[in-house]
Amino acid sequence: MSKSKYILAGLLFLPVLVLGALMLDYAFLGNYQEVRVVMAGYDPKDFFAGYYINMRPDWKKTDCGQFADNICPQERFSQNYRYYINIKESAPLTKAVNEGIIEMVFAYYPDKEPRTIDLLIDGVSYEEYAEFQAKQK
Amino acid sequence: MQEVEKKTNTADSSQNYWFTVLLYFASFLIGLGIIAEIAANWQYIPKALKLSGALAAMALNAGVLIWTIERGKNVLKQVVACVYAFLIMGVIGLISQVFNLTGSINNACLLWALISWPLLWAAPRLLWLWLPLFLFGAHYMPPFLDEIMREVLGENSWSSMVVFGRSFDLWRCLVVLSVLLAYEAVALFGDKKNCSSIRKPLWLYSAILMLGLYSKSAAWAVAEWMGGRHFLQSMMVFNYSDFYVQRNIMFAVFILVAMGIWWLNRKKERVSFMPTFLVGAVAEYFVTCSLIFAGVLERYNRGLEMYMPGLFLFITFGYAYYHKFRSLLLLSAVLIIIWLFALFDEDLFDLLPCLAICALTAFAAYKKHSRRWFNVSVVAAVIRILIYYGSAADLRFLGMYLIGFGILIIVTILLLVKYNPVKEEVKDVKE
Repeated sequence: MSKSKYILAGLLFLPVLVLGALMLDYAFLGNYQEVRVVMAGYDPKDFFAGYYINMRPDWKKTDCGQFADNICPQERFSQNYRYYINIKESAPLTKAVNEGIIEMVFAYYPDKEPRTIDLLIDGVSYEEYAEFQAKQK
Repeated sequence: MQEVEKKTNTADSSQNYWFTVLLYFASFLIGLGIIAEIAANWQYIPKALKLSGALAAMALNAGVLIWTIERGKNVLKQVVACVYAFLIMGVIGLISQVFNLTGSINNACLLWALISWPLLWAAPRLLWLWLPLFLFGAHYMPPFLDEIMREVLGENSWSSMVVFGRSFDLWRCLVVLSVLLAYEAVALFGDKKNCSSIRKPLWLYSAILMLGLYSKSAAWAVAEWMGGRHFLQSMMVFNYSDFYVQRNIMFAVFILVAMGIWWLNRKKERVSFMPTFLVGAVAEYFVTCSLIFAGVLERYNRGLEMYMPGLFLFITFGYAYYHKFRSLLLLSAVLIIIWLFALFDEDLFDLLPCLAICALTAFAAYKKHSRRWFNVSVVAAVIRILIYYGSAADLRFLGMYLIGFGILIIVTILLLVKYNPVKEEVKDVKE
């Protein structure tokens, strides 16, 4: 195999390395503070509507006592968030968002963007909620 | 002495070609069926398994691609590179899904473009397949590029006031159009008959990326510069929301620039930048079509938004036919077939007639010994099945049907090959 082909072979594995590094970066959360933010719904023009539930932080209902100086750092969070759900649960979850019983759990860092950990429906983790719904059917 | 000479019958080698294409089609059906079964049980698969499986699939694909390059298997190389390209995009989407990331799709497309560029080096003939996807990804300038430009120019400098002020979009529009027209002028008055840029994928890729970045800006720049946005909205034909005005203005910009490029090249027998521009405009409207399918855009506007791409596609087809630009001719033919299918709702009762039309077209192409149109028919069937897959309610049964049908095709072909072997001719050679 010539030198140029070795270079090409290395470059073709570049996507594997880059995406593998991304996965590891997102998987290992490190030291963080767990915070809960109440979510409200909105309806964007989204090609993947139905497969995700789209939400935005509702800072009026969120307990800012979780953060330093009892001030919600709104600028540290994004204006919109989405969570992957089973499409069959799209309608009931959208209703739950509108009723204000949905919270998103974040890994909060002092020096980088908060990351999504979990979705709570009336205090229950989404995975438990999905299992319960599956058993009901 | 008798010399046995194996002579492959021309008709039989051609028959192997049809079978090979159908085997690829069967492989696609089986692959899609497997994907459907995985998707149907997606929520039951652990996240770690999803991610590690995806990485393993990518590594395997890269290994196979390197093997095809090493062995000089060019056709297989194109197929594997195509699969790898879509696999990379799929894994980016998977990461976004598993970790519930909030980035927009254009950031994902830009990441895909940045890490998959080695594939252009390995399989440059895939450029026309990637064109719409690159345009879609680079269509909206990602926020971080905006930040970089602000950092470079400074927030409060005179240049930033000009660039980031109301006329920002206009400047970007003028820059990209000037570059395009300058290139056309240099090539036109140069000593070259053929436009070599079409045959230089990397150069073209960079140009398309730049084109995609500014296409939206061009539309708004023209509208705002003319002060005509509100005027146009008051006219009945443009009496839609801003979204539609934007799209129609952009369409008009594409038409005007394409006509300008055609005018520059009218006395020269060469292919210019125009095909790229036309395909870019078509890709823009297919984005709109996809939003209509997703129910994001109201269907009462379907007429204008759906028939204008068709008109543009037929213009592209005519242009390619006149200039004998085969690649663009085939691409536009495939896109016309997709557009025809897109006029129907995604329903099984429309899928089967569409597939029947593809089968009849393929059979007619086989009888006429036209490999080109046989390939177009098979590709059209593939795309129609993909469109149906995107709207299918129960993937579990769909997966079973696809796998079963794919296996049926393979078994049928193997039986036909077994009972129709290659003929041998024995030739006496006198010493």
